[in-house]
Formats: sequence, structure tokens, C-alpha cells
Amino acid sequence: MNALRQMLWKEFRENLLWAALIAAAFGIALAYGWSKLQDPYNHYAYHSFMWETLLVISRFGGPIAGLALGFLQTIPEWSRDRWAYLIHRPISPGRIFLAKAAAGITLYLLATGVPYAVLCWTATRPGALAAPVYLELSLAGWMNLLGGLPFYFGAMLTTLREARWTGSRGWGLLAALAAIASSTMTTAGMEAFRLAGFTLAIACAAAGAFLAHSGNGAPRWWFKTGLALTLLWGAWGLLFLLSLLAQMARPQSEHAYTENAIHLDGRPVQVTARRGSPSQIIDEMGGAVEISKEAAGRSELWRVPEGYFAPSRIDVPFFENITRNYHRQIWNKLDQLESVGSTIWYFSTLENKLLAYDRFTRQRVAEGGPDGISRPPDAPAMPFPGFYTRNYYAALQFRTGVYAVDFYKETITPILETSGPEQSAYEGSAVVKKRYDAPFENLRIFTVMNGVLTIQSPDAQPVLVKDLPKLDKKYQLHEVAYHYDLERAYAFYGLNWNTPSKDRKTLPTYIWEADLKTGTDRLIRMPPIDNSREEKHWTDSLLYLVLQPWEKVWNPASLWFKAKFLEPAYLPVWERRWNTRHQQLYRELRQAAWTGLAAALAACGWITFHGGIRKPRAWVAPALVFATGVPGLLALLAWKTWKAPAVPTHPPAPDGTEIFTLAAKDR
Amino acid sequence: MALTISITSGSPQPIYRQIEDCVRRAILSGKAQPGEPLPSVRALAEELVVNPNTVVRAYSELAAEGLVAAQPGRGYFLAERRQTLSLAERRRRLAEAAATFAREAGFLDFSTRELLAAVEAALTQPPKDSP
Amino acid sequence: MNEPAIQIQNLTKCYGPHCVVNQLTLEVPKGCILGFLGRNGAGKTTTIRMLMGIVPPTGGSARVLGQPADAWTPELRARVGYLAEGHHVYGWMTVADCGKFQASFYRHWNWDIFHAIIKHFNLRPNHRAGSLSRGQRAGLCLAMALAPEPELLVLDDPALGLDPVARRSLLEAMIYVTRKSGRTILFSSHLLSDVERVADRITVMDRGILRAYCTLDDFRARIRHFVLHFDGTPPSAPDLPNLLHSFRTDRELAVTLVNADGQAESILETLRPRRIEQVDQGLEEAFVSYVGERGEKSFFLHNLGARS
Repeated sequence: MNALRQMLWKEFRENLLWAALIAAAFGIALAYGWSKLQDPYNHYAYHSFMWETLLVISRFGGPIAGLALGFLQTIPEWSRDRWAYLIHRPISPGRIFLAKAAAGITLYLLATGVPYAVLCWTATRPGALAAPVYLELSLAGWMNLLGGLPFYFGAMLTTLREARWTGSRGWGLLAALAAIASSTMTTAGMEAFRLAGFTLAIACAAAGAFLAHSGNGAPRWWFKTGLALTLLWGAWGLLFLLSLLAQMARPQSEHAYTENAIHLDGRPVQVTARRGSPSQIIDEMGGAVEISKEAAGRSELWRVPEGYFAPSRIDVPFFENITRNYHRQIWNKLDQLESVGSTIWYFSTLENKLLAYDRFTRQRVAEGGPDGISRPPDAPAMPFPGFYTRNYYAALQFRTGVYAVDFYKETITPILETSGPEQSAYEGSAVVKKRYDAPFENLRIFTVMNGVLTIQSPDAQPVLVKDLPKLDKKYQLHEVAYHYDLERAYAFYGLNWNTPSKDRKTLPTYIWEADLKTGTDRLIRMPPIDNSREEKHWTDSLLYLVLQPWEKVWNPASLWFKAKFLEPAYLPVWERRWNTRHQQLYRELRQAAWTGLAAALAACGWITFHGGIRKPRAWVAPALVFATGVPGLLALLAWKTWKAPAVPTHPPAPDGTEIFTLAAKDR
Repeated sequence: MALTISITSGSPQPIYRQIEDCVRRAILSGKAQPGEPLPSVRALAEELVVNPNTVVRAYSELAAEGLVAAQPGRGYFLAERRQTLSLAERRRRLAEAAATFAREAGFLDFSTRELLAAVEAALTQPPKDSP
Repeated sequence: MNEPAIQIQNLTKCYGPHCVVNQLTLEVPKGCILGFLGRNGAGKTTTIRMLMGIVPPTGGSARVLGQPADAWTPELRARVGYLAEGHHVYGWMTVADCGKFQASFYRHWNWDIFHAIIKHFNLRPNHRAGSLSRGQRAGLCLAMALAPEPELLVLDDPALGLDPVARRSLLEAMIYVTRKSGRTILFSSHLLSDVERVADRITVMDRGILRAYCTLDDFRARIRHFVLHFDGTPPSAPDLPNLLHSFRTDRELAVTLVNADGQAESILETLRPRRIEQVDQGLEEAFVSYVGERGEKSFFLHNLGARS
């Protein structure tokens, strides 16, 4: 034990300075980021720990720190004679590696954890930020820091692995990249678990590589398993990198999106836009409508309902993908509502209250509950009842009712009470030039309950109560809108998300229009909308074929979702796909099976070429390749570098100049 | 003890033979008396910084020639001068020594008579220890 | 136990198509001092590293003190001292720290030996290891290797870069080790004068192949250098399989033969020289002929420079 302790001391002491440097660099970066967050005019102040810059710092800082420590602990020891000095002592090399890893992990956690912990502490002091700061939001950063551990072991593996060509040394790093790039929308606990799994496998591979150079006998099972997994994930990481390059190289997608909208002059229209600019506008008859030259963006002309469209992984740029996973969590805890002078108003779902902060002094100046807004916050307001679902233009919406908030006069008026989940209230979508042009009195609050549309003013006076038309159950209500000048209300109907493509091309969409002045309403039939046909770039299809099938199947979050265990936070995202998830799984499995079969056949061919097809367990590799697809095939090709090359079997021929005079037994 | 043994590495002459020659020269010059102890194997090896086996070999060959005698438990001692070599062996060695002399001195342009006189002088007056 | 200290059987190491060590077979008994000779790049260091389990061999096997060399245990490591080429230490430790650090790993550690060697190389306990000169570092490493009193001592080019005094100290330490019987030393070196002093037997490696394994005297005896004197221009050397190299001047032909027997001598006679002379060579000369380039080197005076 004393030997292990000495080794630990040596490793710790040797790298302490580097860890301190890393901590200083990380701390400076965090401090800089936090100071930017404290800027009074930073719109993202309420993101606090989830602010993209801070997340990027931890997302990249963790791996960089891990890489640095991993390389620093192995490269200096790597020249053969230093290696001899390290290894040749009466302590098993497994223990030496353990000492290195334990010291390295401890230093890593200290170097990255201490600055981040200091940040967490300062952030929760009153007056740190002009917004409430919740410690739960820091979990994302902690998970990012954990993401540095696979890189630590990946760096060790890169140094230690005996590889024939420089390129194949990087598999450990690619596997670590896969660890953080494949991170999905999961809870912090799941993420920690997942990262621990990656780290353990890569650590086993690194330990095995360490032992291989220590005269320690045949490679063990845990080493082989760890290495196989590392190579597999490394292959995935390589394909991911290639997909990034392909995505950056290919031109911007010419993806066009069509939706129903209301023109400012009141006409119902259908707009096809590319990259946000309209390319074609038709009216209900299908006739063309002139596109105004003054149109700077679609919101200048009309208001379109905002549906949620979940793009595929490949479409999402890399940086957004890093931080996107955690953005949802902010919306669930905090929402920025309105800025009035130097006061910023927030709604906190944790406390179920309105909170106001001064952007210069960063103090909490007011609180609000259903019984009103109170200043100073020493007399705290009662929390709102129920479950917060929506907010738009100062109407707060709960499962239990709707409240109208006037931030200027600082009043709260209950508008509506709903008595159960089957009643749902919608926000109003204003058809105006700019979002916030309408004065508070003109605010309209829309509620749809049991097929009845109710429009109210902020002082709870009903303005319109009408039955909505009953359409075929293929259709669902997407959105409601209100034109203030013409005093008309609109409801947009579209086909359900799981409608097959051929129906989309033929079935019409509908807009329901109600005139508040005359009290009449009509149902307008619009041309069919089919957005399902996206123009796919050929690289998308290829990468989808190669990368996606098994990735979607084996992806833990994907499996999680399909097995019906879900986080409530993600319900709004996946809700619309709920009905089709089984068909989705079946389709993905089929695709995965086909690619797996092709890859397994290629693997068989490769093994035969290398003469190994008659070996007793030759079936193992193709079976694994089938299960893992193209990444598995790449991993198999990378594995081969571990096999010893052919040894010349003929001994060198004597040429008469040998001198062997010692007795035969002594030879 | 008047017996100084020194060796040079890298010469064409093996080390053990150099040791032997040192002992022989010491006997010849009269510096060492019969019955004197030779340094122990280990001591000489550590002094000269050579492998003890080399010293053992030198001592063994000297013992075979009869120049030194091993006393079990007490080490090696210089023996009484006894001729143990056979006549043929002595003749052979004499021829070798003469050949060496002829090789070295043959180019000095002296007459045979002068050469023989020099040999006589050397034999009567033992030379100082030469390196 | 009468097992040999080192047993090597068909040991091979190839990097791709190039074999650095090729089917090496060797057995070293306990108690001997073996000089491991060869040119740079002949495969000596690789062989030693394979023995110590640092480099995995491509083929073949080796045993050290009876244990397989691809499965070193901590107990075996305690019995073998290894001084690697670079004399590497952890620079941030002091000399005393190094001693304490190293001693913590060994059950048997002789502090007297450690301190004696340290003093002998003029090291002070609070010297920072990183600021030591090459020779001092060698002394420190030597102290750390000898203090556990190992049964087998493996030294890879230990005298590299050392001044003559340090070299001499190193040799003294090696002789000291032989005080206890049964201790084996394997060392590789380019300094043949040192090898001549301390080695019992030598091996010669050439391009990965073991070419010689014999005692020093046998080596010298087998390599014989003849100078043939001619009246006229000497002929080229005969094409003998055991001809190492030859050298022609105006009137002489010098040949170096290995394993020369009577037949070779009679072949030399057929060249009709005026006189054949055998010249004794030192170990270094013999070694250079043995592993140097084969063939003829000639030096004809009248080919050089301006006509005189």
C-alpha cells in the first residue's frame, strides 16, 4: 500500500502546477463570461448558468482540460527510457495506472470544479444578477465538466496505443468526441451515468494499452471489451465529424416552407417562403398575390402561426447542438416577460410568482401573485395556483386559469377560470406590424374550451363567444389570431402530424374567420399544404443511411422515449409525434437491419481476405458488425492494427562468420 | 610490497597476460622475493578494475608454470624458482623472445656482435621496471 | 537452483516488414558478466527492452530468472536492477527524495550502498535531480539500481556520455556487485576497453542477428589478422566465406579472417607472398573488423593527388 501511496504522491505532485494553471485559465474564462452576463443590457441575463457563452466555456473547457491533463501525464513518460524508469519497480503496472488515473481525475475535478463551484456560489448571492438564479440550472455546466473525463482517458489512450499509423492513434479522442456529441436531451442523472459508461470503457482501453507495454501478459477481457467499445464510438465520432464537414461544405438548404397566413389588409393567404423570405403568395382561389417590395421579413406583412418543427440532428449547426440540449430546461424554470424602464419582469415556475429586478442594481424590487404586485418584496406575494403553461404579451396562462398583467400600472386581473385539463386556453396571436404595438386595453385573450372560442379583453369582459366549426378528426386547430384594425378573429386548421403524404397533397386546409363588428363568421377553404417533401441533399441521404439508423436505435434517449418513459419537460417537443412512434421505431429498425446486413457482409469479406474465416470464433465479429452497422465495420478495420504482423519464420542463414564457442548447453 | 601490477586495456595483449608479465618482470628484476604473498584475487580485481576471473586465470597460469603457488585458504604466494617447463617449451619460448628482440632491434643498423653484447649486458643487469 | 539467469528463444521484433531483432536465441548462466556488443541500431536496446517487458515481442519468448519475460511480476522486478539509457530521474525531486521514493517500493533496501554511491559521485541529498550533470545522474540511477541488491543487473549503455572518472566509478560498482556469488550482470557498451576489463563473455549482434557468443579470448583468438608481403603489386584477396575485410597497399595485402583454420592459411599461401605475418589485434580492432563493412578497401599511393 505504501508503494501505491508513493506513486499517487508522485503523480499528484508532478501535475499540481499544471492543474493550477488550468484552474486559473478556466476561472478567468468563467469570470469573464459572468461579467458579460452582468451587463445591464444583456438580454440573456436570466439564462444565468445556462447562458450559451458559459455553457460553451464549460463544454469546451472541460475536454480541453481533460486532454491537457491526459497528455501531460503520459507524454513526458513516453520515451522508452523514461517509461522504463516508471515501469520497472516492484509494483504491478495496474497499480501504477490506477495511481495515475486517480491523481489525474482528482486534479481534473479540482481544476475545473473549484472555479465552477466558486461561480455557483457568487451567482447565488443577492445582487449577482438582475434575475433569479436557480442552482439547478448549474447542473448543465457540471455535466459539461464531466464530459472532459472521456477526453482525459482518450488522450492517455492516444499516447499509449501502439498504432501503425499516426491517424489511427486518434481513436480514443474520437470516442471521447462521440461521448459528448451524442449527448441528447436527457436528465442530468442520465447524462452522468452515460458519461460514466463512456469514461469507463475508454479507461479500460487506456489501462490495457498501458499494460501491453509493461510485460504483463496477454490482454484481458475487460481491455478487449473497452477497446472494442472505444473503437466503435471512435468510428461513430469519425462519421459525425465527416457529417459536420459535409454539412458545412454543402450549400444552404433551399428548403421551402408553406403555411397559411393573414395579410395586413385582411385577406387569407398562403405563403411559401425560402429562408424566411417569401417566394410566392397565393389567395384562397389559388391566384397570385403581389409580394410587396417593402417587405423586409414576413412579420412585416402578416402573422403566421408558430408551429414547432423539430429538425433532424444533421440540420442543427454544431454550436447550437451543444447548448440546445439544455435550453428547454430554462424555459421550464424561468421566463422573461417584459422590460419596463430599468425593471425586468420574470415569471418563475419554481416559485410560481412574478419577480421584478432592477437591471442596474441587480436587486429584486417587486413580486407578484394573483392578489397583486407588491413592492417592496419584503411582503412577498402569494404564488399563482396551478401549472404554468403559456405566456404571451402579458397574459399568463395556467391550467387553472388566465391572468392579465399590466406591467406599467402593475395590476393583475384574473380573466378566466378553467376547471380541468380538457379545457385549454390559447394565447392570442396579434396580426400587427410589430408585436407590441397594441396598447394594453386592446389586448385580446383567446380561450378555446370544448370547441367554444372566447375572446376577452384584459378586464375580463367577453368580446366574442362563438362555437368553432367541427371539422373531420384529421384536422386539428393549430393557432388563433386577431386583427386589431379590422377587428377580426381567425382560427387556423391544419392536418394532423401523422397524416400520410398522399393525403396532404389532396386535402385542403382551412381558415375560420369571425368578424366582431358584424358578428358573422365563415370557413375559408385554402389550398392543400404539403411540407413533408423536403429537398434532401445527397450527403444527407448518405449520412442518414450510414450514421442514423443504428444511432437512432441505440441512442439511449431515443430508446427511452420509445419505451414510454419521458421527462415531462419534453412533452411539448415530442407530443405531436406520440402517435407515430411505434411506426417510427419499426421503420428505423428495418433501415438499421439493412445497413447492418451490408456491413456484416463486408466484414465477412474482409475477414476472409485476411484468412481468418476458419478460426473457431470467426462469427463473433460479423455478428457484432451487424448489430452496430457502419461504425462497427470501421471499428473492425481499426482493431486489426492490434494483431501482430507476420513474423518471418525462416531463421537467418549462417554465413560462416559466426563465433559460437560456448558449450551447446550454454547456448 | 614491491609487487606493482598495472594493466592497460585496449592493447593487443590480453589483460591476464599483462598481469602475468608484471609478475614475471617483478620476479626477474628481483623486486619480489619467493614466499611473498600476491594480492588476493578480489583485492587485485578491485584495484585494477577488472573481472576477478581474469585475475584467477592469470594466477592459474602462473601457478601452472610454477612461478606462484596456491595455498588453500591463504591465497597465492610467489614460489621458489623451479623450472617446471619442459625443454621443448623453454626452447620455444626462447625462440619467441629472440624473435621479438630481432624484430625490435633489427632495424637499428648495429652489427650482430654489438647486438649480442647488448643482450649480455641486459641479462647481467636486470632492467628497471619498464612500462 | 541451476536455471540460467536469462533464457532467450527465437526472440523477434519487427516493425512492419523491418525486423530489428531476428530469431535471437541465447542463454546466460548465473554469475557471469555478459557484454552485449553491436553497432548502433543492431538491436541491442530492443532486445533488452523485450527482456524487461517494456516492448512486446513480435515472436519468440524469453525468461528472466526462470520467469517468463512477458509476465513480469512485482516480485521479479524487485530482483532485477535495470539502468536504462537516458539515466532518467524525476527532475523535481531532490536526491534524498529519489532515494526515499525508490526505497518505498522495495522490501529489501540497503541504505549503506545507496549513500556510499551517492557520496562517491559527489552528490548531496538536497541536490535537485533536474540540475545534476549527466555523470551525477548516472550515479544517482546506479545508486537506486544497486541499493536493493538485485540478483540480475541489466545496464543499457550505462557509460554513454560519462566522463572517464564516472566511467571508472561505474566499472568499480560493477566489480563490487560480483562480490556476492551468483550475481549476473548484462551490459551493453561501445567502449570496448571497458568491456575488455569486466566482461566474462560477450555477444555480438549485427542487424538484429546474433553473430557471436563466446568468451573474450575466444573472440580474439578466432579473429586473426594476417599481413602478406609481396614483391610486386599484391593480388586481390581470395574470395573466402570467412574473409572479413582486406586492405591492399603498394606491397602488402592485409586480410582479416574469422574462424581461420589451416585450410584458409594454405589458400593464403597460394597467393605466393614473400612472407605471411600474423599480427595480434586488440579487442577493438577485432570488433571493428567483425562488424564493420565487408570487402576490400584499397589504398594505392600512386592514385592520390598531383604527381609528385
